[in-house]
Amino acid sequence: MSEEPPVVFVIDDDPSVREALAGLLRSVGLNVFSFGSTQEFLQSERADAPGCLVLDVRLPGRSGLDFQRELAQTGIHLPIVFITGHGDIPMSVRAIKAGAIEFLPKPFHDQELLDAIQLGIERDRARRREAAALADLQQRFDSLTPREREIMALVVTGRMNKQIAADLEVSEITVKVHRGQVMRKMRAKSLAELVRMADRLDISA
Amino acid sequence: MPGGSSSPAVGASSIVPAAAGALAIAILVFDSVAHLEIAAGAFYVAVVLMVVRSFERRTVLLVSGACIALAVSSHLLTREGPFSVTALVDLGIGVSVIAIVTYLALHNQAAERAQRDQLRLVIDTIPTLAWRTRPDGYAEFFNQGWQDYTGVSLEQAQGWGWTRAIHPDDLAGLTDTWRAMLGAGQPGEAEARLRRADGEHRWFLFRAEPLRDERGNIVNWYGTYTDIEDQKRAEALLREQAGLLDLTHDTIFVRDMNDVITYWNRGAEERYGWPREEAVGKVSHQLTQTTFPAPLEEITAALLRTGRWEGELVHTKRDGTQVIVASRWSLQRDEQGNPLATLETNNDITERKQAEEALRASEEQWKAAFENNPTMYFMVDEAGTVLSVNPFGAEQLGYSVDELVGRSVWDNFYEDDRATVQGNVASCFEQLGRSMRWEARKTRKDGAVLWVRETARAMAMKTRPVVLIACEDITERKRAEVLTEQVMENSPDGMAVVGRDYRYRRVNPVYGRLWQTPADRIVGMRVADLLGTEVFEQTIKPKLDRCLAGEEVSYTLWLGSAFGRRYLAISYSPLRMDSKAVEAALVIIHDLTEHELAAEALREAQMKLAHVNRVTTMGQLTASIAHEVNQPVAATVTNAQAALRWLAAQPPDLDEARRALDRIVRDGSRTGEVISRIRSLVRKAPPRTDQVDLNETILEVVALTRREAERHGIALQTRLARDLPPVWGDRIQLQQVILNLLTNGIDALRGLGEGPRELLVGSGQDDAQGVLVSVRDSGPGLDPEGLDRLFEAFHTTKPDGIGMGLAISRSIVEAHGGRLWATPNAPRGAIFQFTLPLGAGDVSSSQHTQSAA
Repeated sequence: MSEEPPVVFVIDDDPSVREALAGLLRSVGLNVFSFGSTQEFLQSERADAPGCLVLDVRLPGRSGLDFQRELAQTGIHLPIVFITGHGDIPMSVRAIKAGAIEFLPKPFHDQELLDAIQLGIERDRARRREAAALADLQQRFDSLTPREREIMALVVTGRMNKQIAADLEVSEITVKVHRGQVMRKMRAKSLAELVRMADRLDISA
Repeated sequence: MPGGSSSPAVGASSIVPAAAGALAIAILVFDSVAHLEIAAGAFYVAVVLMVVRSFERRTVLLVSGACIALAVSSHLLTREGPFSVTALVDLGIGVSVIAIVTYLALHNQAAERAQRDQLRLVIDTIPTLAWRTRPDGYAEFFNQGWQDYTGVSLEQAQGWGWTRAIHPDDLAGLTDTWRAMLGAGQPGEAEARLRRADGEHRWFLFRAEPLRDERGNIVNWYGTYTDIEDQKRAEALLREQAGLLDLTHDTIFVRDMNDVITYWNRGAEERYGWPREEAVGKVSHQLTQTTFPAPLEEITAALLRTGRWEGELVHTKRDGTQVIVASRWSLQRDEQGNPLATLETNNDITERKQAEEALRASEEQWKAAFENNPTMYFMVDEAGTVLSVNPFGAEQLGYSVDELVGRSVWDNFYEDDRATVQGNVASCFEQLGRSMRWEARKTRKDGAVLWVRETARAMAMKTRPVVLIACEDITERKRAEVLTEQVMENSPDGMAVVGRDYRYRRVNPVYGRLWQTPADRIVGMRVADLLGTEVFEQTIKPKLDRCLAGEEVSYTLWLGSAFGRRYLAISYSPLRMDSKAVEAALVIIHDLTEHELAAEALREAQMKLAHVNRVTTMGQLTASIAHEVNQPVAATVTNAQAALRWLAAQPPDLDEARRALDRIVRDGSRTGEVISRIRSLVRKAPPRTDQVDLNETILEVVALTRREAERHGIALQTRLARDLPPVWGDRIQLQQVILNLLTNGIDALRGLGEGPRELLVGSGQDDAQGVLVSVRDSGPGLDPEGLDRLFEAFHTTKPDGIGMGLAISRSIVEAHGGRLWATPNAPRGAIFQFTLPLGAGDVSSSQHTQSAA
């Protein structure tokens, strides 16, 4: 699985700051895309790559914190590093609680910013990997027939074939056949692995 | 009757014998010369007759013999011629005539004497005093009674000797009357006092009457003396009484037993119109044409029987009009009890009759008034028994008059009021004529209660004291009063009535509670005594006086009370009993302390909020400025870091580094632009340059802070210079400076434990051609070590201060070209003062910016 080079998005209404940040991030070899507003960001085509969002808390239109919440709701899971000209403690606490990587007052120390961005990228990378694995798993699960999904759900709860047969009023043989199909399609090497898969897929009987 | 005292029987009279002798000689001579013998003998008869009247028998015989002898001798002597028979016969006839006449005369004389002796015996033995005189008044005889009474003998009394028995004072009057009677020959009488043998004088009536012969010649005067002493005394007594009676205006007269008026007083003169002279001597009933209520005989009989009579008579006056009189007769008797006279007293009752008529009419009116008057009248005696009650009074109580009369009046009173009313009525009886008033409740027959107002007065009615009570139903008024009373009693506001003497007349409980003094104790107190003389004189009296002059006055005041300082809304309303004069002031006090405290809390909260706002605004401004500057600074730093990284790279990327440095330059200049933009922003506020009257500004600020000062018990005073020249400057900013200094002063004083809390704002001209404003407080004063830092920003001695006030104030003052400094006040406290130059000109914008920063 090939890894895309990471991308850093900068949203700040101050062009000087935007440019300065872009310059700094480029100096460490990061791909930087900067935006003057959140709308610009949302309307842009973003590469499918691990990334990090550097966001000014005070933005025209809406606050950075509100935007953080909005992103989470729309399924954009970019880690966020907040920068602020006049940040205060309550604001930073809220931001961190809502999943922000860091909350940095301007002017900031370059290393701190870079470390935070790096951390964000790593976190995004991991998230992306996880998401990809889950998608694969989901794909496998989607390949199951309804009966197979039914039986899988019962199997992962720890019920015996015999019990499942009784539950579904089918023969035990039928249960065994379906179960084998499930294990193969799901590429599960053991029942324990299947259980973990079901857990991740959040399957319940 | 002057003359000798010889008795006729003794022949002592010298005139008669002499006359007789002379006559005899004359006859002898005539006889002898004329030769008329017959005539001569007859002439001697006259001598005999003359003598026989006054002389005794023997003397008469002697004279007769002598006359005969004379006649004979004359015949013998004168006969010249021859003896003639004729002459002898003549002589014999003459002698015979003499002898016969002598005989007859003597005979007659003897018979007369016998008769006279008999009469004398009678006269001498009767008890009346009697006398006789000769026609010329010569007293010949006084009877034995007279002699015994006077002790004067007949011999002594004869002639005019009797006068010695007459009282010297009466003698002249008596003799005058007597001579007049003698002269006129008419009978008469006179009164005189006669001395008794023992020396006592008594009044006698002297009466005399002449005795005449056939030819009408007076032979003798006969007279009597009658004792009229008792009558005289009675008369004197009557006169004396009459004298007194003259003084009265009553009609009084005296009439004798024949109803002849003997006395007529002045009252009678006035009443009837006849003067005394005309009335006296008249028969009274005829004079006044009296109409009697009964036959006069019956009246007289009653008078004689009982000694008095009373009745009404109708008299006709001299002018013909009639009067009705109340007549009183009183019989006067002498010592022996014999009726002497009647004293009649008459009162004109014509007017009284009319008055009685009028009185009767008046009584009827009064009775009508008493019975129909819509006022209850009760007359009670000392025991409280109802003597009379008018029908209205009875009706109001639901009774009939008969049900109440004779019963105790106390029963009609409401039980609780009974004792008080009894006491009041008793007081009335103690002082007759004094009126008393009270209000009390009465119980009607049906049990309902009436409020009445009673006026009572005791008086003597037929010597017995009674109380008349006039009683008015005031239930309605009382009800209104009770309601008013309830308004007073239940009002949540303090209410009081203060008279013109500044004393409380009425006070409601809330008012009393305000001063923690029972309302009934406050009544009668002076306002100054309750609230303190200072407050009264300075604050209350001037306003009360305005009210008493007729004005409605309202004001609010922080006043020390029993509950601590109270904020009171006070109103004075003039109370007038009649249309004009204000008699008292109605004081209504509404305690606004809670409201005021709440309002103050609100104001304080607003001030704090304003303060917070200011701080917040400042914070926001600062934040905004910081953000504006921070952005390019942040960009610069970031660019510099980026440049460093480009330069540190292997190989160093100089283009990138240059670009970063370009950005740094650009951002640097941008930072400068931001700052100058902010400065230009501030510069946009146009500087205000007004002509400021600092006194006016001070007074505005004082007005703003006075309430706050009062609330903390601070005496805030001003001492402002007159004709203070104006300064140029920003009115609002200067106002804020003064406000800041005053607020500091109040803050310094409010926490003060003891000592006076005084804050004085003064203005004056500074020596250096400027204006000086000072604020002096009597607070704890300034820490000498802290003086330097006092005006530094963020330096504060107050727990809730931010330490900007004095700093800003100094900035403002300095921006106006003045100076602000602090010094200690004596004996304690601090003085903050600032000067401002006159015509301080424009305030430069740079100074403004400094002060704002």
